[in-house]
Amino acid sequence: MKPKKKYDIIICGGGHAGIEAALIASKLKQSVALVTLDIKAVGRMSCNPAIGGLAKGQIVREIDVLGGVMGLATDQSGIQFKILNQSKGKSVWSPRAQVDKRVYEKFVSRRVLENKNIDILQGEVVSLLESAAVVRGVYLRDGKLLYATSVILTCGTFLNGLIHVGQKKIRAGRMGESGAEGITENLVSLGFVTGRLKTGTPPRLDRSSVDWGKTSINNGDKSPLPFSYETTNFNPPHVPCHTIVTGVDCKNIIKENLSLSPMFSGDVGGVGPRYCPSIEDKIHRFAHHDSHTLFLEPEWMNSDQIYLNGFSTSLPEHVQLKALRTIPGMAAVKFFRPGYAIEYDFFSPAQLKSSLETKNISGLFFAGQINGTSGYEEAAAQGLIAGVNASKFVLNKEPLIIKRSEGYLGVMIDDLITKDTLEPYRMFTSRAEYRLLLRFSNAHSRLAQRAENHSLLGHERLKKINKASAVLNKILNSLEKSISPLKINEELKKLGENPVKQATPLKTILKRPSVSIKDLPLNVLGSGVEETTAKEALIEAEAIIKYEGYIKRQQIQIERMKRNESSHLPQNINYMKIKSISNEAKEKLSFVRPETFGQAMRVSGVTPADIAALSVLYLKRKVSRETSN
Amino acid sequence: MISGDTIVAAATPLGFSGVAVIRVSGPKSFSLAEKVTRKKKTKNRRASLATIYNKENKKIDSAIVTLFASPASYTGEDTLEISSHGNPALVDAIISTLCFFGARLAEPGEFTYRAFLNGKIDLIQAEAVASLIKSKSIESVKEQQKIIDGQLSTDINKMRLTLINLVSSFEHQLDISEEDLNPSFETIAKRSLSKLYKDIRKVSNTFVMGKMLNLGVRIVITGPPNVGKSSLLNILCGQKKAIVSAKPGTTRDVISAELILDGVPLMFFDTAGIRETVEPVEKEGVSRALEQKEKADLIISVSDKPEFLLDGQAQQLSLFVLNKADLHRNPPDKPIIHISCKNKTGISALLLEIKNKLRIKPLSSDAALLSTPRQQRAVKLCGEHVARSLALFKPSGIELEILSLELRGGIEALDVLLGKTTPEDIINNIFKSLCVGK
Repeated sequence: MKPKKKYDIIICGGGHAGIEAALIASKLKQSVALVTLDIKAVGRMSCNPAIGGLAKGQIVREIDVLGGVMGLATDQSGIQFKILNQSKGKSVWSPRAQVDKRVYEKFVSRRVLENKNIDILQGEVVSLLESAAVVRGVYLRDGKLLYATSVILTCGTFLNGLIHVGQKKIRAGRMGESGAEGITENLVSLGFVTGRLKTGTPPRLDRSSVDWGKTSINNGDKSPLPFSYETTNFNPPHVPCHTIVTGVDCKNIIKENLSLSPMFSGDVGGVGPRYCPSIEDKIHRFAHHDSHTLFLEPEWMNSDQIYLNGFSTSLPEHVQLKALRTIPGMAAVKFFRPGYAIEYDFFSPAQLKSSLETKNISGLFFAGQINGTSGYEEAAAQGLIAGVNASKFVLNKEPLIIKRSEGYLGVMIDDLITKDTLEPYRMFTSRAEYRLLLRFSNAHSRLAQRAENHSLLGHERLKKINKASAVLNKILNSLEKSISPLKINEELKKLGENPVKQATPLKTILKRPSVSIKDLPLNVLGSGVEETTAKEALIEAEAIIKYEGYIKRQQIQIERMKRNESSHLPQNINYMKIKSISNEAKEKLSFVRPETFGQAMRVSGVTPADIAALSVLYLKRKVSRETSN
Repeated sequence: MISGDTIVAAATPLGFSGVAVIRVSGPKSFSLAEKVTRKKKTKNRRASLATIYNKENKKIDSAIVTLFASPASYTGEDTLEISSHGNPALVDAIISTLCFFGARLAEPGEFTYRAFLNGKIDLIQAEAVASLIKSKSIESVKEQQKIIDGQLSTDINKMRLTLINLVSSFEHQLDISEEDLNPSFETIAKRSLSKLYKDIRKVSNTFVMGKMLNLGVRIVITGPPNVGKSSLLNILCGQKKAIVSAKPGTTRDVISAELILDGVPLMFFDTAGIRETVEPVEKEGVSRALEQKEKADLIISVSDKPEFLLDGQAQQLSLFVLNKADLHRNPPDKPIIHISCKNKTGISALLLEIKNKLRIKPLSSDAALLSTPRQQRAVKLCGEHVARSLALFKPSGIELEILSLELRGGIEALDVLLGKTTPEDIINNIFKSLCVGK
């Protein structure tokens, strides 16, 4: 295809971030060029054949409410759905799905290919065209120059990617796909600070080489909930997954060979994740544990390739095999591909604004693993925000910024900007100080209005979100009504609760610890209400009532922090010249250049005393000689 | 208060004395030393004799000069201490000279504030500096020193660490472990929290003694005119302070005198014999007396006739004293304390009763006591969070994220106490309570 002379937005990289960016930008009527090294690899899932999970499920929901495609794609390709943490509190319920990788990739790539506003170009971006600190376009390796008003880099792990399998090193972006060279150097010459990170991946097993009889079975939820509000008549397959447990022999083999692991022995330059640790890390750190659970996940329905979740490694192939073959059920296991570590360039996200636009070059946005995050969901979320804000940039409008109190997307971007990137960033619910408010079941309450205001939602999805809200409101209204003792005391007795003496509002009864919403006589299924919609509305209503006191407390805290969050700090402060703050604060603040006081408070290394000093200088808007350049 | 300049102040109180200490802290300290002594290269941490010159190069004084290079100084910055003769005009002249050469007069508590900013002490220790300076007894001094030495901070930090470890284990369950909770997890968590709650209560209760040592006890002596209140006051404090006369209504003003009992400063307030009067000065005295009564920690009701005591229930902590025991044939039973000011009998029994009523106990050498209302509020708040989290352990299971939220509240309360995340105004208040030069 012949590329246009000029595009509104050029996106470099067709992974999860790139796809969300491209699709949302096109929805906002931007002309988009998606440049990728391999058209066939658009939307490829590099690692885990699963979407969602602890904290990530919540992110996928938010992506869906803001008009993204990940939720819908997951619903269409999922082979097992489960809500994790159901035995723990509602604010940490996280939906997760095992997916058929091929179906997923096909779904998203088709969306992109069939989109009239998006031109997919096969090629490699090697440098940017920039003048006067504004991006103007990109240069491809074949010499072509493409002009654009805005550029989004979503290069994933491909920048100077180096794969390690034991002592073998292969230059690549992903196993079997060549990496990208050139753009890092160009960005460095434009003043960007770069670093190296590493991430691990487990081996892919040959299904026929596993003795399935010796594995344990892991089933999904019987009546699962879909990710996307747009999904109706949800009837996915229920493919069971299997687990095995490593033993002492496995542990010992790995232990003896730790020196051969480049990830563990420090041969790999970049810093690796702590919480998706390699099996080497796990064995070393939990030395007293003799066993670890591994999950055998099929890459797609009836796939011969089994992803061995929990066994990320860069040990030599023969060591991986030897260790695994000590496990019952794996005595004859064979690999389609060994586990490997990949080392790649990333750019410290402190160089970005909350809109994901770079601070140094206008119109240039970074999203995804290039910012040092790990995980498809984190990447997709950033891609979505970058896509929206690149469009806003082109249209000369204010960017969309999600606050920490509004969504995990807000927490993630704010964390990326203010915290040190010592290892790849993965979302955890504990990162959200307002975790109780950021439930998977209230994403629509939090963000749908915003999405609508910015025209991010298609007609169908908006309609269904409104329906979900209506059902929820109906339930909440019903809970306000009172019920007579006659109608409820027997149920209460069964639950071991004291009876009520007079007519009591249902919500008061629901507040009792042993009572759950299913114990109350509520009529939810009206006409045209999907079972899944009803089920979820009940979950949400229960959370709202049971958490009422705590939710109020969190909201009070949010109010208190409002002043800090909206007090802006001038961007041209010379922090090195402020004598009353600590040296660490000087350096960190100079690097991060926080936009608000709230952000400054979260920069690591900045103490309350430093904030006190800054507030004297800037909250009262005194212009002091010691700080102007 | 915030700037990176060099401050100066007298560290010793205004007055005439053998030695006065002038303190300088900030980047210019060493160059100021050179300027006022006309001596180059004074050795670090070496007290040396030097002549202090004013800006006209005339000799002001001979003094001992000591330099402390950052970070090993009180404030963590370069500091200079000048020990001069203790004459106020002299001290003034030295300070003016230092200001002329570039120092600035320090604000109250600014030196200690800089010590806090530079991480030399935490907020609890900073508070203790203020309390130490105001201490009225050696026992109080010792308690504050324990705090300055970090003992209270250590105890608080231990509690904080327990909470952090618990929260981390909860978060691990919530964020990393995809498995269901096993019951032993709950049992261990509950046990750990119960123990922590006991420890918090223990620390919180130390405020009873700590407050008394640090802030003293207000004891108001009340009663009808001419029963011997002023005499009692005089005997208790071993000096004639109140005006004693046979005419009722003599004590017009609220008199205070002090007695240190086991380290606790007892501040006594005599009050005008409360009676109806038209005499204006006496009326004023009576209203002041009633005011004092409200603020009192302990009320000693004195009478010389047994039937006037125990009239109505006491709203505040009270002791009932029957004076003029020498005049009574059949003194009634307890809980009245019988004294005779004239014959000086019953006084030690009264002091013992005061001790018991106030719960003044001998001090142990180990744990540090909480000594300010701020500290006690913080510890109490932490305790409330822990208590609430214990209530969350139900047979139907626990909600980990609520538990985590409560415990984080507890950690925050302790962080505020230590000054890790204290709102600016609270920090300022603490340092303003110190005087200039501290």
